[in-house]
Amino acid sequence: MAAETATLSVRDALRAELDAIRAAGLYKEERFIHAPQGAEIEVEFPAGAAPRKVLNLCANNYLGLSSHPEVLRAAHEGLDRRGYGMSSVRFICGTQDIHRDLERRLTEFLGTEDTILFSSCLDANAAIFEAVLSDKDVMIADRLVHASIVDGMRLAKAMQDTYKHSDMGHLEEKLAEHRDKRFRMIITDGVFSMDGDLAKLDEIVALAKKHDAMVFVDDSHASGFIGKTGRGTPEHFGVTGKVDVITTTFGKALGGASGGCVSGRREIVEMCRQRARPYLFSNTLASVIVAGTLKVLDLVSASTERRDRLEENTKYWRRLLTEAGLDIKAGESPIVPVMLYNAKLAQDVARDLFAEGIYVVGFFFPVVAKGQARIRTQLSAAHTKEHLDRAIEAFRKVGKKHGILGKTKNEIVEKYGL
Amino acid sequence: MQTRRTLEVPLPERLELSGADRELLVATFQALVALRCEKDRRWDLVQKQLEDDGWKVRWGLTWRAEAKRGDDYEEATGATLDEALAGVAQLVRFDMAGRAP
Repeated sequence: MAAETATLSVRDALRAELDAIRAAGLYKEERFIHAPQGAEIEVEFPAGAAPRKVLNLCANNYLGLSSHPEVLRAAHEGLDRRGYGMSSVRFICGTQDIHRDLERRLTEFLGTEDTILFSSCLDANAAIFEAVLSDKDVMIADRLVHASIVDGMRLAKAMQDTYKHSDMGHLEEKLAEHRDKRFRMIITDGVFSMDGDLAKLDEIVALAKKHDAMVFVDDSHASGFIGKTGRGTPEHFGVTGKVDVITTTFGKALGGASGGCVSGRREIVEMCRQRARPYLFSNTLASVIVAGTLKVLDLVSASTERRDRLEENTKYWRRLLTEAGLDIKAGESPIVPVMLYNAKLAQDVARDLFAEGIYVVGFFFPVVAKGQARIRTQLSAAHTKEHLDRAIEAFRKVGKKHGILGKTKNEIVEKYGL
Repeated sequence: MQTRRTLEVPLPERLELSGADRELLVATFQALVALRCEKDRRWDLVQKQLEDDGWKVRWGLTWRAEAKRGDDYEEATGATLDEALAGVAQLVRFDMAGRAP
């Protein structure tokens, strides 16, 4: 009886919290997609509605490989030749030849010394700091790093510190402040997922050399398409081989399924194999994903055609939005945020665009900082110019309805508030 | 009932106690009393057990800072008040920034 009372009380408390989330307009609802991932998808929204064909501008499918026929074929073959699951962690009986092959291929692709696979990049980020650093060390992170890095840092015993976003002067102050520590690790995203801006990796590497620090980069929003041959931000900034640790995902440009890795200095990777808890205590990456990712690496290594098309699409889309009078974050990555500042406005614009056949999502606090609500559009090599022309027409129509075309931040804030 | 025993510490003339001073004095005396007279005194036993298991145990008093805002909560400890507050500030700073998936 007591247990039943306690259960009810927990339910009541959680229901109250969920109600509060709904009342604040922060409740996340899933949209059901009745198709493989692609530039155009069929979406059931709201739940129970007939699926509608919409143009997808919110996937991380940067290279359009999520449903590529060659990747599908490789995954099918992987399934047939290596089975569905391994029922084991890597170090007991969960490592197949193709896991080793993928680690070697990633090492080659990223220009590092060694690589270790994880079930996700979130796992890689949760693993690395605790495995490599101790209480004698310090982690100095950009203040806008991905949530999984924050979680990984919290799990580690090393001291935590931060520097203002992309502020190299502040980073140098911090490096000097922590000169007494055994190891200093500078931690940054390669491409920041919120604004789509790139870390100043060349300057970071120079500061690391000057202050004898390590450099960690999460290149999840870069691997496969940033840099002339898609090797990521180290290639873009000419510092390939000079970054100590790269983490990345196979869940975005590199096929879009799941999985991730830590790639970098041989000893760091070896230490992860000995100590990283998500590696030691969680199942091996499924063989079907390994086989698919190997094919993705074949495709992106053989040709830059997809990343080149993505770059063209990005430039074209940024130009269209600017000409339409929308307020976008400047940059060069295929993450193009359309700034609306007000949370309700972001939700209303996203809803109206969906009605026009354009699938985008409004982001607002706590997903982005307060007063920074926006619609994050994301380009893909799978988009055609016709797709983008259709999308901009919808943005113009909806933008006109809400009176935001040609308006500055101050004018939008004055009209809608923060 | 035992007579309550008190210890008076004369303060220098013209010394104005701040809130932090009072907090420190209270904490110091509480720590003294806890260390000497705490009921059941388990800490020295626990320390011995840990040392018997091969741990080198070091303990001491520390500053603790906490920050609450709505449902958000962070806490940090440090050897100095500065260190504890800086720790909380770091954790809060991570939470203030938005994080897109």
